[in-house]
Amino acid sequence: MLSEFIRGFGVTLKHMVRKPVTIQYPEKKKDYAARYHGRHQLNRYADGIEKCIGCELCAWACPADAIYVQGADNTPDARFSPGERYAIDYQINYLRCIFCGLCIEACPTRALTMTQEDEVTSTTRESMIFTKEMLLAPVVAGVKPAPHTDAEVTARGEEYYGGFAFTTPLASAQAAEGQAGVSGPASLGTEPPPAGVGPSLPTTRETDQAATALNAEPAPFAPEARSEDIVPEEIKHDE
Amino acid sequence: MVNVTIDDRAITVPEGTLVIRAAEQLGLYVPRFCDHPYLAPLGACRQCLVEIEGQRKPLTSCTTTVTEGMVVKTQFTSDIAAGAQKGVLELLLINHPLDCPVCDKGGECPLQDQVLAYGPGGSRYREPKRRYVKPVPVSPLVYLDRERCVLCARCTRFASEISGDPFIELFERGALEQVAIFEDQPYESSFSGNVIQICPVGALTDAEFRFKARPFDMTSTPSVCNLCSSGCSLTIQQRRGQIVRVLARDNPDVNEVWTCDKGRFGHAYVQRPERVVEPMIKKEGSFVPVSWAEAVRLIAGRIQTVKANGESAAVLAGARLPDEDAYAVSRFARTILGTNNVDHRLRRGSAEEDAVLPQLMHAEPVEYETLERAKLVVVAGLDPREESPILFLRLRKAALKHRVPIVELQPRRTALARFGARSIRCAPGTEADVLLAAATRLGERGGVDASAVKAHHPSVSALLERCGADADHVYALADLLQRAGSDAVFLAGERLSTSPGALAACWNLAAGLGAKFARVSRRPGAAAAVWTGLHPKLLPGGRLVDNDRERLEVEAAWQTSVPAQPGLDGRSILDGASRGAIGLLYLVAIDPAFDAPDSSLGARALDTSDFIVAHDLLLTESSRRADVLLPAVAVPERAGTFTDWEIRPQTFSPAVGAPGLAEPDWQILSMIAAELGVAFPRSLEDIRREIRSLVRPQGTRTPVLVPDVSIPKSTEHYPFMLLTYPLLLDDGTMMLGANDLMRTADDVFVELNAKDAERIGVEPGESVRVSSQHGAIEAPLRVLRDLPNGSVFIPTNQRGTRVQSLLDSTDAMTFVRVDPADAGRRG
Ligand code: SF4
Ligand code: SF4
Ligand code: SF4
Ligand code: SF4
Ligand code: FES
Repeated sequence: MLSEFIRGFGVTLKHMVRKPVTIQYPEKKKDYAARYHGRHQLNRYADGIEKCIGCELCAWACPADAIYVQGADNTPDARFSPGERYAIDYQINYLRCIFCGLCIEACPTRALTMTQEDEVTSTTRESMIFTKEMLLAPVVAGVKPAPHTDAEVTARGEEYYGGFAFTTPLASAQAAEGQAGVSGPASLGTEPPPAGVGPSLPTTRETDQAATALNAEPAPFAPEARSEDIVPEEIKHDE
Repeated sequence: MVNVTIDDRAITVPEGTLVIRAAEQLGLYVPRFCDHPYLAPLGACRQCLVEIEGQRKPLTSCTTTVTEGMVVKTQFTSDIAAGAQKGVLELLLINHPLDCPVCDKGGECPLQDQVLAYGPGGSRYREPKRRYVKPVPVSPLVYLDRERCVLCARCTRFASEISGDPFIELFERGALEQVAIFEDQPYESSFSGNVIQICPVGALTDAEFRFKARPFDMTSTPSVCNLCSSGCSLTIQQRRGQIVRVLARDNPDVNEVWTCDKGRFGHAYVQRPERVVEPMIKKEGSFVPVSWAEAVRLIAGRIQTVKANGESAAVLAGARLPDEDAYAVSRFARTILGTNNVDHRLRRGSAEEDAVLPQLMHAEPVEYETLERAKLVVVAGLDPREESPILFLRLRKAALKHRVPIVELQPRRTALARFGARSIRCAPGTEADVLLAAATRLGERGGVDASAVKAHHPSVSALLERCGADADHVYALADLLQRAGSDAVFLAGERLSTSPGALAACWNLAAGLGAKFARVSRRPGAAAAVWTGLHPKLLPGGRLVDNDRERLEVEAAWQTSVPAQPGLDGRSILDGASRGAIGLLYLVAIDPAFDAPDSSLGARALDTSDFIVAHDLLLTESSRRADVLLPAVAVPERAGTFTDWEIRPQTFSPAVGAPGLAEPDWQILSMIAAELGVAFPRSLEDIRREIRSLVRPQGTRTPVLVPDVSIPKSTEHYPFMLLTYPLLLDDGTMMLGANDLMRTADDVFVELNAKDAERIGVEPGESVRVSSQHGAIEAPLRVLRDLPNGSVFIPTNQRGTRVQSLLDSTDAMTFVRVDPADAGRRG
């Protein structure tokens, strides 16, 4: 009888000294596997420029039709991303998302990745649609979030080639030669010319320069040519 | 016929067929970039290489014609062909940027697709790519990205072969070869959007569509253009309920694969916040939104009062209504308002027009294709490039490809002359004289049954003297007509109806020769307006109101009586309204306050009318003055039919949802009929059935009486005869919001010939003041070499001008004086 008691309490005592399986959620949180599919994040380059170019490929890949992207033009005064195009609107509907990760695979710029964040709950439907602001990675201290001006970008020695901003391969060469700005279409800025005013194409000489001297630029979408993704401390992700 | 074997399958094709077309007939798709079924073969891209037995090297299938016994192997059976194609793709990609994610062509790009299907998996090329400044706006509507260009020359061939505006060209050679526009000339063309659509890569992109959507994210609906009478087949693409892009849809019978920029880029008005979205009633001078029930009750009540008091009602309906709505308005006027006061014109009708119009639909139809087979096309009172651009393209094709002689008869040289159309120039209003002179000459030689001509004018020389046309030209026309005989085609612009005697003379000449005749209007619903009876003297099917037998047929179909008295024409309705004699003025998709060819008549008429009901899309000068304003749906939001100038009906279905409470016009009328308890078609199908039974070609063509008009002479104070018509891109309400498109529109100008300009003492570019008895406008002068002496042309409705203010639609001709602008101010 007594031995039964001792055996019984022994089990209890053993469990009392064993390492507990439960964790004190929500005070404590568990680390998930490195490739856990948590909620998404839109990454930035180290200088604060967004990686997303608004290409809609993630939306196309999504089997649940959870993503909405609207592209728009980068301008010389407001450059959000490298190249011509950026996402003026970006939304993920977490009531639809099945966390399959196909969008991540589709993204050509590694702009979209998934975090370990799994607390995607709310009390209203509207708040389950995450906006671009909610999805964008926070900027680290001292870095200016996008948009930047092309002047700022060029001053850093970076060359986000292309785009309606006419941040051309010529720009840096001409700047080096002490010329102000780029002639021809470049000076037209974001506005196409009014009717009757034809833009002049660069002359052969300019084209030659374009074709030869400045070809060393990295391809616009090569991620390795860019700085690291900015991964804020509190959110780890799977890269 | 030639027998060939392609991929071990035999086929017999006509001589001269290209290998690539023969393969298509067998369902074998050879990859291609530069080949285009409507452009001349070029062989620029080398993508379509196939192996042909007996040839040492692979040949381009898009330039090789079949020969008897030819044995062809495509990439499906030949490693040589497949390898050659793979090699070409690898070379094409050497300098092609990795732009797909930001490129508007991505998702519908033949280069993407063909590289995926036939291309190499990777590139052996490691060197940096060629770079260009990009994108370059070649016009406000088209952006050029030279890095993406595969040098297929489709765009340059379109510009030179199809539209004839060769402003895009290929420059430089080798790796630096590039598409460019001439240095200080923007790419100015009314057809520029087509180069975007046929560019096989994202080198030419659409400025307006830029980055708006991906092809896989849009829903496409086949539609028909509602902006002119050409009847282009279009595809409307929407994303999330917004129209984002309009494309030309293949229709070999009508627009082939082209469309004009107006149809492609002019859709912004549909989804503007300015749209009228709910029924509104004017209370104390301002509009108050009400329910449909209330608005319909008010109108029904008013109709009953007007009828009880024996007041008269009148309907003006725009010629931009689809067929079903035009028919519904015609029936509504007759059976519910009980009046024949209904018109789609705002001007005076004429006896000759009344005689010709009912016969129009019984004439042998002229189709686009007819023009290519004709022996002669006479274009009178019509500027096809501005008024029916696709007709212009087809005429150009007929002239250049099929060598069809074209003669244009108008006061002002049009773009037809650019490809060798012979022009007969005459003073505005004297077109009849030229036609009568040609007919008389023809009659003298027995080329036409003289009784058909019924000319009152004995001598050709007297006629020629009056119109000022070159006698040799007129004789040449007579010769051409005699040679062409019944293979001649007459294209009469709607404007010809406003030139005294011209429509009748043209009709008679065509009838006398047994030649084909078509009336071409600028507006999309003009043909339907005539044969559904939006005309004070015509009932549906071209039946005459005052012909008892014909009227009884309509009465039997409608099971109600129709007034036997012909009604008032558009001008008389406005006159009546301005005297307060119209108790109920019903406006459907029409803006008389702005468009009436009279200084202020439209506005005066509306201001004095007791009660105005208007259906409209937008607030216009007229709908603002309505007592009840009802929201109508726009064409992309509804189903219906448009009948183009050929009398070819084409149906369309809704592409996007209608805003607010807007309803189709026929449905609004049906609601009013229901409120009044009067029988009226209740569905689109009902209307279509009625149209089918009432509108059937019948009868024969008979010559009509050419009125003996004496054309008024200019006076010393007003020495110039005014010619005016709207250009393609005018300042119409439908162009609201199409800002990029309107940047390609011409500014207003006044055109004189050099001699007259010198006489007045102004240089081209300087401002002149044009004044008539009714008003004055100012605009810069342009000189057009062969405008007849004493004539002036001003486009009717370019931004900032309203030529209507110079006109008085009771006069056959308007005479004006032209002075230097500053002199006018001093004086
Ligand atoms: S994880 Fe899957 S379901 Fe969720 S947004 Fe991405 S693709 Fe769509
Ligand atoms: S997240 Fe990636 S795939 Fe999605 S739009 Fe941005 S760049 Fe394209
Ligand atoms: S043209 Fe085609 S292949 Fe080239 S970048 Fe655009 S989508 Fe990609
Ligand atoms: S711009 Fe387009 S259509 Fe013109 S040559 Fe280049 S690839 Fe061909
Ligand atoms: S398609 Fe034959 S050479 Fe281009």
